[in-house]
Amino acid sequence: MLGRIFSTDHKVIGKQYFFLALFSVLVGVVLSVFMRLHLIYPDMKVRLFELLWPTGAAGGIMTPELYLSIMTMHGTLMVFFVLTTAPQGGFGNYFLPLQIGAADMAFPRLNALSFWTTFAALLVLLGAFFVPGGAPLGGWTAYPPLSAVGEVAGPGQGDGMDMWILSIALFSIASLLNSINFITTVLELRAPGMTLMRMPLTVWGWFTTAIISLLAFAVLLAAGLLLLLDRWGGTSFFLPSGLVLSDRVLNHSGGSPILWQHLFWFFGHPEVYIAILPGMGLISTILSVNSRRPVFGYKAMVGAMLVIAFLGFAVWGHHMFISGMSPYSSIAFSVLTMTVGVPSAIKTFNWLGTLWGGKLRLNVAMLFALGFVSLFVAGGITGIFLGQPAMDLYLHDTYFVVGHFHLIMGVAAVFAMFAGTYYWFPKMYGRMMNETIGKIHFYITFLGVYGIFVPMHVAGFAGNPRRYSDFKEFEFLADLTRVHTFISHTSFTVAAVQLLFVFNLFWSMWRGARAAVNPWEATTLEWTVPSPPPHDNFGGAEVMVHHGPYEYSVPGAASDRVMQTEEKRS
Amino acid sequence: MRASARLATTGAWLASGSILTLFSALASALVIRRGIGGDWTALALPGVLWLNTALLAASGVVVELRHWGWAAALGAAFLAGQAWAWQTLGLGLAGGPAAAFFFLLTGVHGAHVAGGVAGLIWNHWRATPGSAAAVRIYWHTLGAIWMVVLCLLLWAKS
Repeated sequence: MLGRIFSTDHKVIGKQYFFLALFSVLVGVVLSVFMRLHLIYPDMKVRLFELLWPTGAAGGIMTPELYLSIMTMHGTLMVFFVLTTAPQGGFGNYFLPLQIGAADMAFPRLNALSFWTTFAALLVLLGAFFVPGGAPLGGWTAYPPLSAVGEVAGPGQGDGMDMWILSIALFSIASLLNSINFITTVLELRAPGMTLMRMPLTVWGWFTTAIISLLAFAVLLAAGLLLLLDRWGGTSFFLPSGLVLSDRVLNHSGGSPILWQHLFWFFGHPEVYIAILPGMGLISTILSVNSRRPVFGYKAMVGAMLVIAFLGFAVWGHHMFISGMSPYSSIAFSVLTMTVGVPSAIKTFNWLGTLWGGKLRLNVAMLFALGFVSLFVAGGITGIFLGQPAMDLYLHDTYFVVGHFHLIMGVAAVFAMFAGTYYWFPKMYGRMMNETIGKIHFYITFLGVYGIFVPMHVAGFAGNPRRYSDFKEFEFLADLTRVHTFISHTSFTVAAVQLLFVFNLFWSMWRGARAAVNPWEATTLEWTVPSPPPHDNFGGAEVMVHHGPYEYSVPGAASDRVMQTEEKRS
Repeated sequence: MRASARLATTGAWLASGSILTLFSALASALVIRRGIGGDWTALALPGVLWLNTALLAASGVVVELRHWGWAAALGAAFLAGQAWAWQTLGLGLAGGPAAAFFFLLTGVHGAHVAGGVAGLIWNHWRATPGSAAAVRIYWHTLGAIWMVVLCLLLWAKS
């Protein structure tokens, strides 16, 4: 039993990451529903709030501090324990060795250690709800000075903030170990014939993501350490002189909160690509399989991923346009930010090129993949607004930003996870998920997320600040009441529909129709082994790779696909 | 090279890259903090740091000779010397930004060295080709990083 729980099999660890992310996303969604409920009915007494937070919601009415702590936990859970965890730790662990013809990851025990460290990080984070003062209030970015001074900045900024920093430090260490494992596996354990340019784009996605993680999380770890020292050690890395809080002058001098912003966003912007790059690889695959066409411009797709990864480290300043940075720096960061549009456009163009003239199979995985492309374009275009300092001056810290990053980083990446779940479920469990329930899930979710996040852009244009716990005090926001009511009700609907997905997932595990070895008629290596694959993946057999990953509708071929393992005809 | 050693070598280089990035972040924080605060005061670096540097350099040579036990002993002596430097600095963590960075850099480096000593001891008892390759790379990386940290501290003390 213990051997099964603390398994070193990459497939078990992949599932563990997947279910950890699933649990986190459910908690995160419930928290967002609480926020949306409070925003439109700030005076409504909710018995559940009082039960969960006897002090934060005495009488069933959420205090602003509780609202902020729920917001912080929502953001932290989603960014770290969902967007970073499921695509890379979950699907990456399960399918990377299978797709390159390896029996396991390079370091199986290190892999288990990464997962259990992530698990501990999640427990520590959730523990923040239960310490005196409750969860931290500073948002997922934890900006000092308020994150560095302790309880004087708010109830959750005491023990809760310490828990947050410890959790993120643990998470960073786990991610670093994980990336070492991923990169080594890709470099060293590819089957004979699996050249770099024969790797599925999913593998390229995990590989580039691992490279980004290896560098970005090291910087986050450094930043977290400095923050802890400012809180515990009396240092002044981020705390300036003469800071007055609650009529008390703090005994710190010479530090700069902007230093934290630089360090944090040097991690934080690459983090966006950590969340989306595995999805990009997966979407390329699903579009190709389900239009029976090779990925259009495979080499350009690989190049675009590497360029995105590289540029990801050069654009952090666009999160800081209003921090008082020099306008010259702003221009440099702005131009670099716009440059990200080039590889992004290459990817979008190639996705459309893959679909063009294809024999489309609109299964649920394909629908979510198409939804991903749509969301990626929509969220990307709003990024061009925000990437310009002049626009950002106005839009910064408004709901426009919330709408933007939810579309591109949140929902697009989540759509890739849904696509991945529907696509790979047959391999993981040997059964099919229900397509009808899946389609209902897709259409309502797809329309719903636009219904939630497009109106947020409108609210942002109208000047609606983010992070406010209620709007009724502000006359200029009165006109937006109906917009927020609409957003909230749509979000309740979308949240409820996710229960269909959860039901479909667990029901199909035991009751779904039996799946064939290769139900989607795909060509990559994971579809050559039984479902679920045996412990050693390929049964000890030497895998030989003869073809690229996307040979569909090859002229003169016997069927409309050529498996990667198929021997070349002489 | 045997397969396990090849994996360990690649993994150790990647770990080194990550550790290097961690120290780059700390170093850039030092450079910026020194420039903006207006409260940077000169720090008298303890002389024992030079002895420690010699100990660490010697341990690097001993590692190349595969004398794991001796290398571990030298590494432990380095850590003891660093602890001595902490004692003799005459300032605490909150004794100004220069002292804070002194404790930060030596502390983070020391923590990594402690891990390295554990690896050396492991190799002394049951070295495999993989663990030998990995610990060797890791140990030299820490040696190189110490040289950079020392230069940074010398630069920053004025």
